[in-house]
Amino acid sequence: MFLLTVAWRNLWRHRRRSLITASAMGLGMALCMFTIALTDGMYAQMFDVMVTQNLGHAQVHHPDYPAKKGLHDTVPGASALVGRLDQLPQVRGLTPRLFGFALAGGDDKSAGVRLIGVQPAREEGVTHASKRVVGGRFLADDVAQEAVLGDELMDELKLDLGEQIVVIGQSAMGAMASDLYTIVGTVHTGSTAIDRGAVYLHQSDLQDFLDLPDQVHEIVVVGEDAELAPALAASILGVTDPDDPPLVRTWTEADPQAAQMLGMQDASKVIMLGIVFSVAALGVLNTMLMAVFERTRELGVMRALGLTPSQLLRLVLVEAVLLTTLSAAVGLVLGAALDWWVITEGINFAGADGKGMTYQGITLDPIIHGVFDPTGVVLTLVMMFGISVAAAIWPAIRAARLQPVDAMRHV
Amino acid sequence: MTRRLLPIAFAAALGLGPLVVAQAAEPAADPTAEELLNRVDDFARGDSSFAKMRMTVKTSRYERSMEMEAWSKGTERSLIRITAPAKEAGVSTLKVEDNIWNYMPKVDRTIKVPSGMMSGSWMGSHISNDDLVKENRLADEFTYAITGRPDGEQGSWVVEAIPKPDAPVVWGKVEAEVGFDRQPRAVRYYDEDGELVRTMSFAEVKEFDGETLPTVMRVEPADKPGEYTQITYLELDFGVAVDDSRFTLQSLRK
Repeated sequence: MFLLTVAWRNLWRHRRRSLITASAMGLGMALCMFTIALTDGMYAQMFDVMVTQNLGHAQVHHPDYPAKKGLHDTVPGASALVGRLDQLPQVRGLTPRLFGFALAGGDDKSAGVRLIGVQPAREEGVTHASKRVVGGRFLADDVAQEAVLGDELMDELKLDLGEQIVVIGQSAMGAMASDLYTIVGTVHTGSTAIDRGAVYLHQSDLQDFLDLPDQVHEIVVVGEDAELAPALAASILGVTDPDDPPLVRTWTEADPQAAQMLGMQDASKVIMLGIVFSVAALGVLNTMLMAVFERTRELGVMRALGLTPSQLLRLVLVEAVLLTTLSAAVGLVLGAALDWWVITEGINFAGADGKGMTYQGITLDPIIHGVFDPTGVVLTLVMMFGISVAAAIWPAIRAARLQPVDAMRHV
Repeated sequence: MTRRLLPIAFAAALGLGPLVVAQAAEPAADPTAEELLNRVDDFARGDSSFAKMRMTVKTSRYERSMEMEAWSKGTERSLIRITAPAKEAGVSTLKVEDNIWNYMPKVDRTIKVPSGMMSGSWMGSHISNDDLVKENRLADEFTYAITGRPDGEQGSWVVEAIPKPDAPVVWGKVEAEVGFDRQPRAVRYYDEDGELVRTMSFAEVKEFDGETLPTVMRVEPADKPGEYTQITYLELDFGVAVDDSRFTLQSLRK
């Protein structure tokens, strides 16, 4: 208690230096909190585009589909399997998808497109497709002959809502397939492949177009948590037909690249924090060293008055802890303010074209919103205390080793 | 007038020249090479025809049939229109010289088959777009030799045709088999390594419009056993008046 009082007084006897140090460290901590919130936000968005919207937690395919992507490689016994998956308690939602390639166009322009046949209600339940609608609406549950286009594809084909899109391709039976669909909406998903080249159709329309009645190429399943994907995949495999089993994979198995990319989140957080904290640590080290050097005489007097070396060592350490506490208070207030701002307002990263950054086929929204993660704050606090105490140890040892007589003669 | 074998686009398209050559030969004596080539060139020129046929495509995954009507004039021009099943009815193909256009009535669009797609399948069959347009100018591009003769009433004439070195032909060798009755039995196509690529066989000899000829033609790719495309002629009219305007993009859309 005595040490605490003395340390507290000591801090305020050098008010300016203490405040500057506390501000610097507090600012460092606030920046850390802000950076964590921002990167978490970016990764949350990438996770949303890659996993929630596209991969799901587990996927079911024909065993040949991943390698060949053949029109005929449809999930064996899909309808019955969907019925059984609906009964599984671990399954939170699922959406069967059918794919095809075709030439699509309006009067003047045409482009090769990927046809994606979905069941609107199920797709909505899993990927919240309607949230990504930027014009018109998503496919209605039961109205047929409708199409929803990626927004950039819509621009490229110079088509408008309410107009018809001509789709020409080849069915699984080898027949020339062609049909007209009314465009009811456009979507912006952040996935370049979809925004520039996808046409969503009702699954039954596409099954008809491709001559693949009741067949799908993919069943995307979402469980409670992406972390539980292996268990989910195992229970899916449990209800498949053992005589003609489909391929069941977790999202990390289905797209190792995406998993790896998202896995970099932790590494980049560590690097970011490392940089900020090493700056903060140097600040603390500097402050503490100065505090000891400047006060050599004073510390010498304290030794002469009867303070033991270990007491002096503790005194300096307690000063460091107090200073850090002060910094943490400043940092928390400042960081909370920055976090609040980046979470509610977001930062606009739009380039000259008004579009967000594109990375690995994922276009992030131009405005990135932060995500608050309490563990990020706790981590920041723990690291800050650890580092400042570590940085104060050397000056503290130095102070403890002072010879009172020499110290008092020190100018 | 040369007797005509399959007087629609497929005939020239599928390289039936050698058959006709052999078929046209006098039974009594072996024809000379020059005679053969002249016959072939005669065969290819200027006659018009109308046919109704059924095409059945069998692959390892599916089997489907469609019916179609075809008009042709020489080897240069032909128009084929699908009449059944209802889903594809009206889908049409126009061939003029080396170009192919497909018309899709449901969306009222005409699409010219791009050069990169010419080796692709025509209507999902084992016949490629290239097969439709490639005319084997036999006199210029092949050298022939009769390598087998009928042995009694059971055997066949075998004519081996080898493309000249600079001929724009994808085959290394074409072998035509013609029965003692002067009806074609098969044509075998080999690649440049001498491997069999596909076999075209003929059956159901019937009389149509005064001509006796096989009415079923089947194409079997050698690398996909069990798969085939079979064309059955339901009706054939030779020398019918087919106006040149039949072979235009306007006509294609009707």
